[in-house]
Amino acid sequence: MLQILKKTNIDFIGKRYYAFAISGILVIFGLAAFVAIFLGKADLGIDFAGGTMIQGYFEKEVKIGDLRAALSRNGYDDAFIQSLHREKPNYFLIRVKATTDEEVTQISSDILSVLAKEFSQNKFNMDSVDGIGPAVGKTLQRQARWAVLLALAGILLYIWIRFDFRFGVAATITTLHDVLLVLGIFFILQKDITLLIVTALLTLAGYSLNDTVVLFDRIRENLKLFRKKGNFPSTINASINEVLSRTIITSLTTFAVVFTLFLVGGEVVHDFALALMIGIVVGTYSSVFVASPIIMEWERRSPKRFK
Amino acid sequence: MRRSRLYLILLISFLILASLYALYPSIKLLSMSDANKEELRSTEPQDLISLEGKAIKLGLDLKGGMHVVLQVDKSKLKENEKRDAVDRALEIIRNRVDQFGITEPLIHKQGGDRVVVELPGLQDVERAQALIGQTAQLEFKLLETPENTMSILKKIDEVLAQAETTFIEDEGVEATEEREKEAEQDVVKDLFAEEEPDTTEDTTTFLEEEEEPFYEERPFTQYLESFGQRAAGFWVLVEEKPKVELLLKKPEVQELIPKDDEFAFSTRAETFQNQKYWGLYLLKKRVELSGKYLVDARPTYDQFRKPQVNFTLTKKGGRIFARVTGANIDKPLAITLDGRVESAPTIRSKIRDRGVIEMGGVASIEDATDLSIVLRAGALPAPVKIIENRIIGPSLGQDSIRKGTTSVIIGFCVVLLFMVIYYKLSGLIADFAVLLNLFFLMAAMAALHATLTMPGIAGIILTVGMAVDANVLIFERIREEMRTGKTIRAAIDAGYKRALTAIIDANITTLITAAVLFNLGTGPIKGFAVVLSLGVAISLFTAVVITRVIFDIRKKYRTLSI
Repeated sequence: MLQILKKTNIDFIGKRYYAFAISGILVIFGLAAFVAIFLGKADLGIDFAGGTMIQGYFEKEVKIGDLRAALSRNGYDDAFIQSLHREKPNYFLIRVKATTDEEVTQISSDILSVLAKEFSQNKFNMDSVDGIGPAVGKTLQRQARWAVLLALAGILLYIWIRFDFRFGVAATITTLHDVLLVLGIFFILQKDITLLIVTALLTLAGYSLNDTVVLFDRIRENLKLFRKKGNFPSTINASINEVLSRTIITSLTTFAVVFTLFLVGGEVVHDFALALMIGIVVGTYSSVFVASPIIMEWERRSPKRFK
Repeated sequence: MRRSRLYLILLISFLILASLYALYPSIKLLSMSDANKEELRSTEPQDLISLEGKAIKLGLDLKGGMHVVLQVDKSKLKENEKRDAVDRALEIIRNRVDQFGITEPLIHKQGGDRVVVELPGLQDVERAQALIGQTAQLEFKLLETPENTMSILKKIDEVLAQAETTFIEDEGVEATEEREKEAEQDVVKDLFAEEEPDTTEDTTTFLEEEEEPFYEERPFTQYLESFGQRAAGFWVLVEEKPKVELLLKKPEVQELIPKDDEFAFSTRAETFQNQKYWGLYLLKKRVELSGKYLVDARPTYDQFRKPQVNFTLTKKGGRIFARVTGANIDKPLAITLDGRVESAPTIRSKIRDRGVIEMGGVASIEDATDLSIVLRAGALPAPVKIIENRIIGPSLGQDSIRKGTTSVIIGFCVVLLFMVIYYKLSGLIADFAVLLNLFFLMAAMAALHATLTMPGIAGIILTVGMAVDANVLIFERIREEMRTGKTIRAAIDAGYKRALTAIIDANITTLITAAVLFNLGTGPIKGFAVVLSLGVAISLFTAVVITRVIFDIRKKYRTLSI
């Protein structure tokens, strides 16, 4: 049989302090991003911040500087312009933050007429327009916050019922860790936090939990078997080693499909796929190096033999 | 055991047939060329509509179209009107959209005061926005007499001129002096107020002034142009409209406009000698007749092939209209829509229950059609404003479909190939399960009338990745059990049995997040949540039950290709 891994016996638990250090640093970035979002300092997408986004392409060549200058001349000096030449030549994304609900339809039609006027010899073909008023942004922000809280609460509750409180807490901390880490990396990469990114975060919360649950399931099974031997860390280590090949294979197949999406899925799902890719790596790492050590440390500090 | 397996095989066969049935319209629609569709649309439109209704629906992000969220402003309504204002607004908007002739519009309420309108495959966005977003409050109002209008304009000029000089002198002057000047201004105002009855003289002086360009003394009327001696209203150059609006907003100017009068601009600009102008009118605030007495409105052309709208009034409306028009022959009557003047024709004779709204020079027949639509559908109970506006061009949708499909195919092939290479024949069984999963997923989408969106396509890809997880868990477990020295049969049984709890737990956590996502916001995300939860639930069946049935076809295994 073809095997990625022969039977392994790696001491994962022994390396937990390195893992805690790495995770600690990255989680701090995640928390910084979280605080920044709450203070309105992070790059929130127009879904949440409100604003206008126009995507489209010119028929002839346009330099991004010329486009910026043209918009600037017409009072849009704070417009964010991104070239999307990956998609098509002369393909641009223009984003303006709206300040009032009234401007939602006005700004987009105004920008389109500015483009028609400034580039009268070079037609701009509009691909999509998103105009979102601040009121809608606020609603979505509130919904997203609730969604994240609800998802975490649901996870805690389910694992608590299926396993026990400690497993539930460990799984929730791990999930939170994964979400914060991806958020932190997106913060460092200065990516916009959009509704689709929040969707990716919640999806990978479910996915990373998947890994953790499979591992916990095995730990629970082995704890029953090894009850008499009573060596807690080695039970956990053995469990990790046993499910390791499954963890890696599943992560690989999922990573492969998401990577395909990242490469050929186009601009709409580009950042979404990126968040999932990072999330899959982080989720795999965390089930081994975060979830299990938490259970282990907890048991060491206040011994309570698992069933 | 044997019998239950038979039942399972029967169940699987039934599900495959049912899925084929559910997917048939989608497959048929997909295989039809655009020309074929057009042909069917013209010959058997009902057939096409029912076919499209049964096929998998594409979201706006794939099909292209417009998504608009309207906020109903209930602040000025009475308590009893507030309750059903949004529902009534929704009905009226639905009426307008239906009459506009868009197939499959989606209109629904969101929260307490929002209406969501989704119009697929729409070309003329601005027209649709105007159609949906206007209150369409039709009112008939008389104009202020030319004499009074002139006198008010003159006063505005004088007060503004005074204010300008005051402003210049004011610079660096003590506050006490400022107060004195203000007092002086009041005196000026009072003087003019006394002069008011003597309007004819005022008008002549004003007209004389018009011939001599003393612009500095005419800070307001310099922007107004009058065509003809007693024309109803003035013309303002398009570029100068903001200045005029600014001047009109000034409190000192507002004070000069009588309480029962108001200034109103025209609905659209007109072109004279290559210049574009807005009309500006001084109207009586009193509403002589409102749109609620209207029973019908139809677009037509006048004798100069200019579009106009013919309207019919109710009996009661006709009586009121006859009284108003009879008493004001040879005077202009303004027809306003949402406070803007559509036209201001002069009443020639008494009109009863049939009238005409002229639309002016630049109006198109589409404008006349739209005006008829909103008039027939009635006015919204409260003003609405567009607070979210998304437009997806058809080419972007096509692009997304193409890229999404490519991603699904490539991702799918990678996973299938990997499973066969890694798990050999068992991998092939798992591949079959994944294929069935995708097939059932699409069928379920069609049967549940779910909408496929771009994030939904991403969900399909993710499902493919995750669906094999169950099989990986089982196969790895079988391998482990085989290593402990069990017989192959026993290893398969133990593998399935022991892996099951982990599979169920893992899938339920995904379902929890999918359920939360379903309640989060917009259509595309909902599409993702639907696909993910359906995919995960189906994978439980395909990966666990169906592969097991295949493994169980043989009773004894000497070797296992895994």
